[in-house]
Amino acid sequence: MAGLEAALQPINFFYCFIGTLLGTLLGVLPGIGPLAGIALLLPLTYGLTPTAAMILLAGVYYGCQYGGSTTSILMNVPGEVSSIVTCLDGNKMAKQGRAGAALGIAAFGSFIAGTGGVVGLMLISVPVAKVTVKFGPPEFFSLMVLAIVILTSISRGSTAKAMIMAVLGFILSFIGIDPVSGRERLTFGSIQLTSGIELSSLAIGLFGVSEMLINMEESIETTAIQLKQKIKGYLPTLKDWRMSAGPITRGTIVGFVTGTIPGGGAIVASFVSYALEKRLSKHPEKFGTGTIEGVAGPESANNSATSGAFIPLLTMGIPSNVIMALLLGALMIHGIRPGPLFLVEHKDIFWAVIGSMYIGNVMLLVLNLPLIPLWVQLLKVPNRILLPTILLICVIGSYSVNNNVFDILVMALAGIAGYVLRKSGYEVAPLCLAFVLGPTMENSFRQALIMSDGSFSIFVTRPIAAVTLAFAALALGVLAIKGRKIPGVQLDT
Amino acid sequence: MKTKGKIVGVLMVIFLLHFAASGVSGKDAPFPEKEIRLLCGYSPGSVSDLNARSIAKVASKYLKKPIVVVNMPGAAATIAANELVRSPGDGYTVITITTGYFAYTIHQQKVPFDPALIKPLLGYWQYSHILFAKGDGPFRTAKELVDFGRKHPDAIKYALPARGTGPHLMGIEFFRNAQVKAVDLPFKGSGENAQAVIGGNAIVGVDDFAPVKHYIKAGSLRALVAFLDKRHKDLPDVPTSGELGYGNLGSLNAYGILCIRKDTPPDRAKKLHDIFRKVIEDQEFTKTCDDLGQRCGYADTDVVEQNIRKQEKLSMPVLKELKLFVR
Repeated sequence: MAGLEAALQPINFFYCFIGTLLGTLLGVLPGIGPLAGIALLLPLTYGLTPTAAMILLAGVYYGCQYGGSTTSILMNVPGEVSSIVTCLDGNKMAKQGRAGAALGIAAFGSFIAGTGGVVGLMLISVPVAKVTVKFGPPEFFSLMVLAIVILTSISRGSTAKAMIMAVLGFILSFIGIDPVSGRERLTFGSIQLTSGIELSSLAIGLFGVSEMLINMEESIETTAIQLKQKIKGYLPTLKDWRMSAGPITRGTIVGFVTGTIPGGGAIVASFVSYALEKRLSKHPEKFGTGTIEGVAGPESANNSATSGAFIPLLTMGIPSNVIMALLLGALMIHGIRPGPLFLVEHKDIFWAVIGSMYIGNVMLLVLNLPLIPLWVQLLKVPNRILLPTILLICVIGSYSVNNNVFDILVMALAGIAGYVLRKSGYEVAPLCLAFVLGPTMENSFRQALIMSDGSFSIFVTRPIAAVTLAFAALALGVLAIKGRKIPGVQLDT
Repeated sequence: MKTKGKIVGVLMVIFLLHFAASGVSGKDAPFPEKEIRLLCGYSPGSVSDLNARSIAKVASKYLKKPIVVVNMPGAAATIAANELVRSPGDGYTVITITTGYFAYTIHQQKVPFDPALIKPLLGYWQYSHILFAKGDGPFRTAKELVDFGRKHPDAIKYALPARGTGPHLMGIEFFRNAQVKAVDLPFKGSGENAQAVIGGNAIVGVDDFAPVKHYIKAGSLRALVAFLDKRHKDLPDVPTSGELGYGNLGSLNAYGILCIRKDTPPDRAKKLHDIFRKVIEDQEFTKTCDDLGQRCGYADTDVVEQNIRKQEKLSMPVLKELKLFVR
């Protein structure tokens, strides 16, 4: 088709390669992500055609979702916020010598889901957009409630402890300026806290820095995996594939749908997929100890979510997240206005971008697979070299998000807190995830009440909201009935 | 040992020479001799950010050294403003900010610096706020909206990109003058509030023309009122609030301005001012602004100051009423 032809033109092919390569690198580096990458590249795109510019920037975006899993698996440092859940099982697999399988399934899953997402984008953009554009505060609130209920089923240990972490996450998310009233909350007069706590710094600290502190308890000559321990192959085995087929498929669908909802995005997609896989698994208690489904599902979901995220932008001109807003700006600087007329006026750009996404996904698989043995060897580096390097990467990553030194402080404090929490048997994932959901849930709730003049009936009279809330109530009921968690589960150390 | 000492000695001399040389060149070499940082207190992709990037891009034609946009979002641009105040007043740090910041934002926070240390160089764009409704919705004119609003107090919810800012103040003034009781519905940013109106979740919205331009062109949104002194050139059929008799709110549109530290040497300040002025009047810049839907043009410091004072005067009582006033 014409789009594929356009995408294969040498110049566009070249920019696709550059975009995906840069995206992978940015994804691997914790903290700095597609937003910073696209912002930095934007001035360089002025001299390009709009098509080439879009191809380049889009490549950076979905490329990041490929690289994000690398440090998550190897070092328990989330490369991208959408790879936080990948840390849970991915890092455990790495410690068991199965880093190659984890990285491999992440790469393949990303490829399959990324391609699937593009197919979805190609076929069902317009009808999907027509539905999601009606989403308003009541619908967002009920989605968040459903997400919270799902969140509680992620934890391996005590549900009560997970709830405590979630509440703590909510409280932390309230710090800053309340968007609905405009007033400051919990800032204690600090101008830095007025914009709240930065998610990347929090995540890097809670996961990566705490991991480093925990590892410091061992001898400095220790390596992440014992040198004598054989690295069990660099690629996923057939058994791995069999177990991952379902998660990858489901992850693709879940991710795509979540990505299309404005405000959804890759991170929500990733943990919904994780929770779904855990719920459907025959051995849910193994999640968190190093199951391959716990890597395959989320990593697929976050990739198809990026494709889904393009739908509101390309069909209606509505950016579904900050990165899309930047892409919108990039298009506008080039004189293109995405919106309902985009598909009519600029069909060629739309199809060229789609064509480049197919190619980009192939490129990313080709780029990432050969690097796996290289990454795995990193685990053989002794702690005395590896840990300071990880810390350095974390510091640079935290700073790079907002050019703000305060974020490094946040990361450090989060690291210490994460260490204490993890040693006490609490999991930090629910905290992070509640932190992400908190603002949307609270804002949507209050906006919905403004819309209804204070009446709660708005949540039941609007069909989508009512159905979602009913679903959430059902899920909560099932959770309660199914009983307590499996006794004797080991603490997360 | 001896050779080591010699090498160290030579390296030290080279080092010292380098410093001496740069010291010498610092005085005589023309300003700017390195890149200029353009701080932006708003996130990438926002209106201010895109305008800043436009100006930086075109400035490369007039300046040998590049202008680099550095995003430092947070605290409604206070973090970036603080960074400007902390930077040396040597003309290598400039900030893009709005007059609204000095008119009402600094009264809603305890800013950690003295705002008097920042002085505007010039204004380069101005907001053009409008009131819009759903494209295929029931309200096709402002009159229909106002009639409905008078009959049904509190029924009209107007979607805003943020609370306590320009669009909010315009909304309050407009509906008050039209004797309509309306409720503000704040969102986080321009995308969300437009989406709320398109999806039928809010009856109307107030925002700058630029972020909603393509929705209006496509028919998803319909502009009802222009909060301008005269009709917008892209919206010839949309009356201004003044024409409708609800007060001329055009002066509440903030300017996007470039500022530097007050103690920057006057010759450098003048050079920056002149270069930016040339950029603003450059065709490439005006074309980019047009594409973005922005009203660009040069505004001197007197105009900018006047705008700040006027907005400040109008917004103080409203901020106090909304309990947003801090100092």
